[in-house]
Amino acid sequence: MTVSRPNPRRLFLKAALAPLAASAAWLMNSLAKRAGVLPENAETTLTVPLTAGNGVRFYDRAIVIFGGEQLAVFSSTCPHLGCRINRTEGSEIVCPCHGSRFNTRGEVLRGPARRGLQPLRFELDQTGAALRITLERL
Amino acid sequence: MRHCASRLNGFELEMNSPAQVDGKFWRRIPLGMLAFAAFVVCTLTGIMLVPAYLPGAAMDSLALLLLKNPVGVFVRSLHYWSAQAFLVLTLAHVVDHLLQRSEAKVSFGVWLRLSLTVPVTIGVMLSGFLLRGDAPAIQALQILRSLLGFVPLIGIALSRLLTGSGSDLITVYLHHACTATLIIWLVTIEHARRILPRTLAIWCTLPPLLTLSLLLVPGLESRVASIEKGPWYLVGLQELLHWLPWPQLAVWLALLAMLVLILLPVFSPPLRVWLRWAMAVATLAYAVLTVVGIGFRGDGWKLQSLRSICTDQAHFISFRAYLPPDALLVAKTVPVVAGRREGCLSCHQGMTGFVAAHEPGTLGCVSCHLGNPFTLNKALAHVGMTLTPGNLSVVNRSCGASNCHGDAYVRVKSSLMNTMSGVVSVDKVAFGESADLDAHSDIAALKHSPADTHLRNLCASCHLGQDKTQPEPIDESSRGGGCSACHLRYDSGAEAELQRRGGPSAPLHHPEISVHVTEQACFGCHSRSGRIATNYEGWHETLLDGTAATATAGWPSKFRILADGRVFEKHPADVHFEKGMTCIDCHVAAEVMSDGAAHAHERDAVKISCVDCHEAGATPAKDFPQLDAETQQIAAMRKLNEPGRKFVVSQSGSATYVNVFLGKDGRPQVALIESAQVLQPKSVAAVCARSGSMHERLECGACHTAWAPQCISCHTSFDPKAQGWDHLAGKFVNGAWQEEAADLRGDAPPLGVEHGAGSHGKREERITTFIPGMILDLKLPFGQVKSLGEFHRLFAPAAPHTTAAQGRDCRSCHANPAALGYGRGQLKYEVKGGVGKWLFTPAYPRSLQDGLPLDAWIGFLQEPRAGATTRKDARPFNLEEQRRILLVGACLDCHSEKEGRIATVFADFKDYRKKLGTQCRLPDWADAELH
Repeated sequence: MTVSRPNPRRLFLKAALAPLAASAAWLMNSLAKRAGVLPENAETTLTVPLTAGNGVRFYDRAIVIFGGEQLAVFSSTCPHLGCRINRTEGSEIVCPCHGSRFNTRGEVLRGPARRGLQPLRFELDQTGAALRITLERL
Repeated sequence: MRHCASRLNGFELEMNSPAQVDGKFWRRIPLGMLAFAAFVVCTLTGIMLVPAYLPGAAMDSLALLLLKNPVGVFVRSLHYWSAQAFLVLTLAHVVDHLLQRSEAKVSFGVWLRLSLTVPVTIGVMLSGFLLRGDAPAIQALQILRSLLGFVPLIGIALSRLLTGSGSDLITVYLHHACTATLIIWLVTIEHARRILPRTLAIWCTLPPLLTLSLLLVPGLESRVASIEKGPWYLVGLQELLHWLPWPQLAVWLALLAMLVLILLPVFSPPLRVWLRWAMAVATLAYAVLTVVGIGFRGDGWKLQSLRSICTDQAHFISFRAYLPPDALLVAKTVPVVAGRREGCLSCHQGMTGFVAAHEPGTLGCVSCHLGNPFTLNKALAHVGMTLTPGNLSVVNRSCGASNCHGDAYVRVKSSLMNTMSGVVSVDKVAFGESADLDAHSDIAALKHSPADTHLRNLCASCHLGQDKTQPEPIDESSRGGGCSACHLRYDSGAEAELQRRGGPSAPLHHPEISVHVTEQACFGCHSRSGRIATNYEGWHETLLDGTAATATAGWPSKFRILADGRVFEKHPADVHFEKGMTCIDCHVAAEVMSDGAAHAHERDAVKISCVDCHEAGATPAKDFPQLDAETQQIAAMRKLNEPGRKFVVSQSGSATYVNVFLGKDGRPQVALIESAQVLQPKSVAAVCARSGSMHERLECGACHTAWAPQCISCHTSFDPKAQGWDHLAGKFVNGAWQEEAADLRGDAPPLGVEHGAGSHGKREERITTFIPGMILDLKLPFGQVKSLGEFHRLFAPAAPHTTAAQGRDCRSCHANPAALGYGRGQLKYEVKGGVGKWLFTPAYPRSLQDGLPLDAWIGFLQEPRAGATTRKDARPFNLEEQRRILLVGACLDCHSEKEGRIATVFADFKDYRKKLGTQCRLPDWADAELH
């Protein structure tokens, strides 16, 4: 009866595959990070009219909140898992996917989201009648 | 592998002779082979769909397929159901292998490849869901990318590798059609040692798949919903993510589960048993999460009843729905509306009657009426459709959809027009079922107690949440309908369409949906209870029936018969009505449609007051840009947003009028919404505005209310033998409540004291008008309560809407028994032996229950009993107040109110008392009262 002994050379080559695979994974992840820029055809800014008055308004990728003298613009991407937020209940902004709730200052009222809504940069356009909003990178 | 081969033999044996196979019945089912067969069907139908599907325009290509390509619809349906079958059978096959302890029977490499098939199978299913390209798919794509990003080390790469970036679905399509499909096929071939499944397995699989494909064709979610749920097998994960503040935990748990499954063969046998139990418990927990997520989650991922969720599901319909009725229709171009194909417009073109915002070219039909826009078959396009989209039971998917009026419908649901909180709470107190008059109640939550059945039977027809079952305008016999109750306006064209309804041709004219709220809309509901709508127009209800009315002198000019048969007689109309004002000239949207807060009573919800227009000082106002969005929109739609206009804010500060603004002189002007006429309201009279006056506590209505409808005693009983209509359930029930009023009077109402925001916009104790809320003799149904009889004498503060320009004279309050709450009759001041004494002879007989006249609120010159009103913070005049009022009345017995000193003498009567001559005979209690 013969007992087969493991081939040390094969074992070494197998073990060497692990760091190789890890290196490849790191390289690919780095590549993906650098590739994560907006596609050329995607909008980077959004212009909305400034006539809406007080209240919460949804403009696809942005939420515009007019409150008296205050004006705030947030990303409509839920900070929990990226769902597009599209509705309010009373004064609460509600995510339709997992039920996170935010107030009009973008703060979390109820999870699962742990972070508030992402504020977006905005400026008045040349006419003064519209907001030019800089959108988040996709 | 040996195991699978023997199972395969079992399959063959079963097909030939089931009796030859040992073991339980379910173990004889060749799950793996059936899964393989389903996979083959799925692959072939997927290949067939390639020419019709465009990943760059996923939803539109599928919509066109549904609308115009019945063969494609069938193939897609078969693709869908074969995929579902493949998933279920594969998972069942994996469980079977675990139960068979197969990990010990195959090599680790084979086990590894088989284990990895599980995530690949779920991946190929999920990618199929994503390739729909509709709203739930887009949301799911975002979630998937986020979750993949949590995979340690390679998260971002994995996310980009599997899902691409942006809205591009080409990467997903590539993996769905090629990568995952090839992996599954290769592993299956290795596992089953066959290139194709057995023919018999295909023949066993096809019949149920074909049946499901024909009966339940999956549609598309054409609209953004208020809740987005993923595919059924991932709703458990969605529910878990709702509870987990750290979503990466879910990813790690999934990776851990995969790792356990892969490494199962390397663990010791006792540990494997333990791990199997752990996996069974985890599977059970996941099943519970899935049931909760699918069955009990509603808007905003809130828990709701199963019933309310089921009403939202109309996603699967029969294949017949997608058979176009004729080639002509198919040849038409289906327009794209609001980003989706709208098949409805193939038939319903040229519809008129809309304001611009609601034009079908802007919104389509489905946005409001629901139904299925992806079929040209009339009957089945209308499946799941509602003719009355304003009903609050569906409004979250119609008017209240997130891109439309998502905020307003939530507020309206909390409004008193919907909850009827005060009506319910007071009724429950009257029936002895509650002690809290100010409880926040909701008529939709009624059960079946005596009070509940009373409300269901007699009151629930008026609440806004009462669904309309067919399109029709609001009148006194047809109420409810949610948003449509106020915002749907039937012109003659729309009325004519109602007459033609059910005919062969599609309707051509739609009622207008706008901010144009007609008087009839208000009148239909508010002609009951406090009857403020009829009062306002100068109509007082009588006990006459229609026949008697037509035989009465003065018919028809002095009488009016409403749609529900009640007969009203002419009384003086409200001065605002005479000026042409409609309800919405005063009652702003923020008040009528609620501010979102739960109010117990109407008085709590009112935001406006008389002095907002009849200014008594500085009038607060806002510029247009300072208005809230809703007020701005309403002002713009009514074309009232002229540059530089300053819009008047109510004294309460909680509402802004769109039609009241400051004139050049700084005084409020009212632009009538209906006629555009501009009125200049009078300022508050000097006598009313005088500070320190003894009349400072008076609400405007205390003097300026000309009359109010008042029931003189009411007998309420339950007849168990009669058939009653349950307005909430919409059906006849055994037993009916019946009311009989002794008399109806339309004269000046009694006065009392109430805490609360009044016509001056301040929260303080004020004198206001009351009407009998419940003077009733209640016969409760035998067997349901201990007591068979109850008697109540509750008066309610009310604003009767019968404003007269001229206020009441002094005697109408100070020497009027009805005004003080004693009831109608003769109040006489008699002087005997140098001392005055008030005497009262009631006009109505005394009640057997409490000894007071039938129409009285309190006893003559008596301290009122507690709990005499329908509000906690309201009461009749106490004895001291009665005496003070009658002290003035005693003076008026000799002196005319036109005497100049009368207006000033009572400012400090205690001092003036010393100057009175001997001829002045005051009541015997006057001096005690003055001290």
